Amino acid sequence: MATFRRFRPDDVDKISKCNLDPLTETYELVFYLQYHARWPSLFQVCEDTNGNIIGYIMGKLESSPEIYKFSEHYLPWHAHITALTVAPEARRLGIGKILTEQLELAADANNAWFVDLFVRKGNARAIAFYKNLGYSVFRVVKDYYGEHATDSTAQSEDAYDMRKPMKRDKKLQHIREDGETYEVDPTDVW
Amino acid sequence: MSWNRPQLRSGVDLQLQSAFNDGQWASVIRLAEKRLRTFNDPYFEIVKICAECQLDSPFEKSAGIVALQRFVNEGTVVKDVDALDLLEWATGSLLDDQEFSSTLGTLKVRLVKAKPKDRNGAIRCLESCLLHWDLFNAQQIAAILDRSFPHDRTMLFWNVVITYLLCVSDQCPPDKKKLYGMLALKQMQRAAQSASQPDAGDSDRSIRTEEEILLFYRILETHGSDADWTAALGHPEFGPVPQFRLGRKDLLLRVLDVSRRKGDWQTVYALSKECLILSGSDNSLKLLACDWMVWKALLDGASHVMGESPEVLDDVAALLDTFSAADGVRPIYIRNILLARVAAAFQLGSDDPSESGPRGAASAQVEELQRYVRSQCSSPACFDDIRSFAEKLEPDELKKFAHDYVPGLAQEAAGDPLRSATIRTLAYQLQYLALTRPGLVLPIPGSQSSSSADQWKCAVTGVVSNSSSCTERFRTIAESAAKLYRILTESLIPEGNGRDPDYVPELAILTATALVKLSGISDSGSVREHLPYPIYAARCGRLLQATLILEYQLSRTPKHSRVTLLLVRLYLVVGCAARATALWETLDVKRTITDSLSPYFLDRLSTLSPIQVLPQSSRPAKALTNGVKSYYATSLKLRMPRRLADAFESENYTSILEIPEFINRLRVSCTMVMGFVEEARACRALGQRGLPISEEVLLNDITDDAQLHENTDFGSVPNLEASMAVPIYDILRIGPKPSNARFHLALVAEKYFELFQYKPPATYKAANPLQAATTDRIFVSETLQQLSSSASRFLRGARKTLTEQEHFFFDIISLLTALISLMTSSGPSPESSTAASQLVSGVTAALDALSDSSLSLPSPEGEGEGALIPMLSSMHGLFHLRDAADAVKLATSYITSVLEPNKQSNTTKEATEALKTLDKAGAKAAALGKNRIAVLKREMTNGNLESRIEAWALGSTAEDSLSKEIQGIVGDRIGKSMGILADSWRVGVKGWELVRWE
Ligand SMILES: CC(C)(COP(=O)(O)OP(=O)(O)OC[C@H]1O[C@@H](n2cnc3c(N)ncnc32)[C@H](O)[C@@H]1OP(=O)(O)O)[C@@H](O)C(=O)NCCC(=O)NCCS
Repeated sequence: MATFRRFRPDDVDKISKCNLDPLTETYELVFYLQYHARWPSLFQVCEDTNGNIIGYIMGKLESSPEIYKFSEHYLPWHAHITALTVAPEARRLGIGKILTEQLELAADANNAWFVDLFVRKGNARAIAFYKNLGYSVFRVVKDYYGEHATDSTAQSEDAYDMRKPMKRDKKLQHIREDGETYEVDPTDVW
Repeated sequence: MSWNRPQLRSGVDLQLQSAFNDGQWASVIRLAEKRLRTFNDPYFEIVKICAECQLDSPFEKSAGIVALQRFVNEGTVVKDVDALDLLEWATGSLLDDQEFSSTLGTLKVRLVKAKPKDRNGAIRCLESCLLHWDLFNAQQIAAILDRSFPHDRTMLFWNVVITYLLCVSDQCPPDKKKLYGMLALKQMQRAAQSASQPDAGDSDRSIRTEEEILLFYRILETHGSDADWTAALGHPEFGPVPQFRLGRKDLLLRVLDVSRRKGDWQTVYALSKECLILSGSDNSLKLLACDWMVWKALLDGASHVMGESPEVLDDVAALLDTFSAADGVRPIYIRNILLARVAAAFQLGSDDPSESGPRGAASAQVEELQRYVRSQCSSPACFDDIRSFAEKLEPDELKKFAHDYVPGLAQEAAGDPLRSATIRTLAYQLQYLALTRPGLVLPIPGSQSSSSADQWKCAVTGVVSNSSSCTERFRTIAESAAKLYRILTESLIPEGNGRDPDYVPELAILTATALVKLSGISDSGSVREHLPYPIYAARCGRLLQATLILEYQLSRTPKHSRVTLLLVRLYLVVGCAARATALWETLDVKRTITDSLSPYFLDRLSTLSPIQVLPQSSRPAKALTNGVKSYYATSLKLRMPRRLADAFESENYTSILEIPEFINRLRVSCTMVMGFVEEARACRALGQRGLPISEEVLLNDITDDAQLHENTDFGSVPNLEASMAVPIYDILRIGPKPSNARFHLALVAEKYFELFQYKPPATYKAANPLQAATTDRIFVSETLQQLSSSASRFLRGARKTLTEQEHFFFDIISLLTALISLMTSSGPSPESSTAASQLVSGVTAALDALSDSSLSLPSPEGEGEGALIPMLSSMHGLFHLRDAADAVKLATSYITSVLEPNKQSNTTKEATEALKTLDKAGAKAAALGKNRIAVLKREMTNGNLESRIEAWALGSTAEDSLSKEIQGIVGDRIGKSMGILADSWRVGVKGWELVRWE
């Protein structure tokens, strides 16, 4: 049983179903408040009948800082998914998909070129999920994560920067066919 | 307030800049004076004052405050924002938030009035007032900004939202509340009216954005008339329906919520119906309206209006049919719609008895439940989805459903063993649910007269018992669940590899829950209140069995949060705080979820095992409470977080209203107080020094009038009980949940200890010792009076929020504060000695009662578990006994120190008597407590602890088939499991050996 709605600050008192899952990071309060303050329509939750949050997405709208205007890594106006999580017992019901689609609607409404996100290269489930929704790898950020999620001997883990074009990108100029082979350093990502 | 050191205004010469940046305060003062003389610019005077504030002497330190006061009193207008920012930085830590408004806030308004066209300067002033939550001055600035920039629409809405915030806050004088409220409303109504005109861009003073509309409704909710509200709902552009058509759902949800609260069911029904119809016809809206909340509104609305308009029943049925027939909808919607059908059958079903029978309400309910289960039985959420409906079925219906229908589905799925196991698990969960419905255990008619003991019978299982709680009826379900669990873990999926299907841990949880019930720990609420501690009358063997199966499950799926959460509480109750702590740490509760989750484990932990709160005596930095304290320190660093300013900048008015509300509540969180109290208690017990409670900045806000806010999140904790029954996590608890009264009382107690235990630094020597002693005494007496009045205020009616031992303990503190005041302040009189002796007997009686309740055992001479486990699980009482003895000792020492120097004839004799009695009572309590620790220490080495535990946990399995199942499940891990329990108890007792007794 579920309702999708905007995040409210007191939802943080009800997010344990999502955040006790080891794959979901818990941030400082100001981090959640920042998204709520700046991009409230891009911070959506899914609530069960008892008021527990069983999924949420946090996103923002931005472009790279002006000083990078002429860099090849410059990102034009786009939406970014900062966090997406669904409580383990509520997975595979389409909740993740609805949350992401709502964010895409907001991205279109704000005339964004694309929606992008970072995901661990080893997070096969999430990658399968995003591919199913039409996202593709745009570039590989080497050693983006300081530690490896599953391999404790590894020092770091690569990230996939995945993207989906929005309506504005009619000519598909902001996606790549062969993004898996396109490697960049973490310093190229802002 | 910690502001980073600001930069000096640009244009200031390099020499002064660098002296300032390097913190060369003496040079800054000298240079600033020089510049002041040269340029006659008051900015430099303020630079100089700020540099003086950085010097060491108290006189210079206060230069900023003194200057502020002078500016305010003399009507000075500081026309330079940079200068004001400097002053704000320099005085920040010395000025509390209340003082901000009358000093810096006032100066900021003066500045904005003097330079109304300086947009940036005014906005900086506004931001500072907002972050200090000085709404009074913020409102004035916002109003000036709006007047100065009539073509900047943002200023209009800022002004409105701040005016509104002021009118609903306690900063607003009561006689002005209405005025400000009307002001905000009128401005918004004007902005709404002009919206029909064409959009005029930035200078457009009409409502345009979704956020502005949401703000409009928020103001209407509290300040609009009914007619205003109704008119808004029907507005062609801003109404919830036209907004919904644009894909905006938040207004709809808000309006539904408000109408529900107003009891306006007609609106609830009509709105939800209209939006559902809309979304049925438009694919892009489908995403929005199949929300459960909308369906729920439809059904709740219909159930209220159907009396007058019976036709709504057909409308609802038609809507449900349309949605059920739609294809291509997502799984989550199918679930919502199916569930809406179930809910409709329960909520809108006829109560007319003539309609019962095959087509009646009852059969429709069962039919819809069956439909739901058929479709959703393999979802791990199925049980949670239907439980609230299933429990409303008649006992017979529920029995058929749980014992015949669902198991039948499992049978049908026999070809797919895993699916079949999922469904069988669901059946067991429902069977358990059926047992927890209140009112199912009934007295057997006539039994009262025929036999000596009353006889009771469970309507579901038929089990007969001598007690109304009839715990034995949980045996069958425990055994069935354990059997299935064993089969699954042994044969189907022997390899855990961390990835058991959901129902495997769920079966472990179900078995453990039923075992807890079987232990008898839950004996009905009223009896419970009189038991000294949770497991007093329980069969501990069953509780240990529950830990065994859960530990086993954790060995298969480490860190499983539901299993861990249940096990943590179980361990706390059976006295294994060390193991509970180790498991809790695997959950990694930190940062934002601290407030809602840490009380689940940390509340009262210091009373169970101080050493768990402060693990290494030499390193307080390792304290478990650190995470809690640092969360609040980080989140509440400023009066309001900077994010509030972000919300203004982004013009997100709902966030502007919601963030302060949340932050203000966080400031009075029970969890925050808990963090400080737990640490202070542990420090005291272990003889360590911590920061005095009265010096904790965050606790300054907690005056007696602060209503502390409790919100423990139990969302992730297993709970299989019917809604009217006590959830298992509340059965497995040391005492009542956090509450306003308990934490205020805890603060009183901590302040009491601090008052008498505080020792001035060894280097401190008073210039005039006699005068210092008098001042000290006055301070003590005033503080005691405050503590005494707080204690009696919060003790009133607090019985139900405290454990028995807490109640005795706080009572003792309350009596002692009164007694000390009486004996040390008033002159000798017969009345005062009578009062004193009454207070003394009050204290001794409470001490005796506390000893009794902390130390009594169900079977004092008992063997094995009969004594040891209850002893280990009653440390909470022991802790309060220690504290109480300590408090008495401090009282007698202080009274003696005051009375001694001026020995007076007859009072002294009576006083001496009283003191002696008190001293003796305290010493006796402490001796009893110490003795208990000695007994425990002996018990730990008495024979092989592991094999003793095994005997208590599993008894002679030959006679008990359930125990045999548990043993079978644990298999050869049994040795390890016993080791876990034994080690945890040993660590616990060792920890208690470090606790100081006076
Ligand atoms: C990734 C995640 C958000 C998906 O949420 P979800 O609600 O379960 O996903 P949905 O049910 O909406 O899935 C939509 C589609 O994505 C694909 N998908 C989702 N989970 C998948 C999985 N585990 N394996 C393969 N495909 C998967 C499927 O095609 C699915 O459609 P289907 O169920 O009809 O086959 C969720 O698994 C999660 O919270 N993971 C942990 C946190 C995380 O990794 N977040 C991503 C970090 S960027």
